Amino acid sequence: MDIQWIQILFQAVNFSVVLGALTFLLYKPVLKMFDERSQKIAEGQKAAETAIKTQEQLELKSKKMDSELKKEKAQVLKEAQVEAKAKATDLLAAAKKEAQAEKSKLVAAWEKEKAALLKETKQDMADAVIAVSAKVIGQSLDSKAQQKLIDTELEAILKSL
Amino acid sequence: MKSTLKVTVISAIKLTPIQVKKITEAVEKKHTESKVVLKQVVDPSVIAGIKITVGSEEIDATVYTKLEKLHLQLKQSL
Repeated sequence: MDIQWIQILFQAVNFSVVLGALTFLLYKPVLKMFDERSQKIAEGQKAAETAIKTQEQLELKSKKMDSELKKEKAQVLKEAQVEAKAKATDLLAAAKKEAQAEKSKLVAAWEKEKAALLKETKQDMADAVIAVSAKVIGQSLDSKAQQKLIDTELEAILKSL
Repeated sequence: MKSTLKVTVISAIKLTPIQVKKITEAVEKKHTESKVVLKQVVDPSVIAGIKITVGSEEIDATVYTKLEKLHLQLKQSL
């Protein structure tokens, strides 16, 4: 069997041409495309990581703010409660004072009215006692008793004259 | 001439002549220079007792006046 060197050379050249063409036209662009894709993926991953990091930071910040807000809210509520309690105590004290003053005023007025009524009643009673006494004495004294009384009084008067 | 001295006697009933005489004599004894003219007034409102007015002098021993004094004292003590 003869080795056809020319044929081998031709085939070698042909292969080289095909390889060169494939390398130039297909392999390199594909490699380039893969590289670009890898770069894009890497960039995408990086961007995703950054986004995740940012989100985590934001979440942390949000949690922190939330906590601070809760704290502030609790503080404001506590202060409001303390203030309300103080105000309620003041109002109650003022109301008690006012009620006491009103009560004292009413009691004083009532006492005054009572005293006036009592005095009036006593005076009315004195008037009644005297009126009844006058009537009873006038009716109970007969002529004889009248004369005797006049004699007694007359004796005293004449002595003083 | 003797001057006239008016004596008014007020009582709830009419005085007896003896009582009138007693009064007249007592006043005359005190006012010898005057002639006593006694006027008797019956006033049931005095209730009992007697009130004698000699000139400007007044002696009140009526039950009404005593009660009035008592009334006044009672009112003042309240």
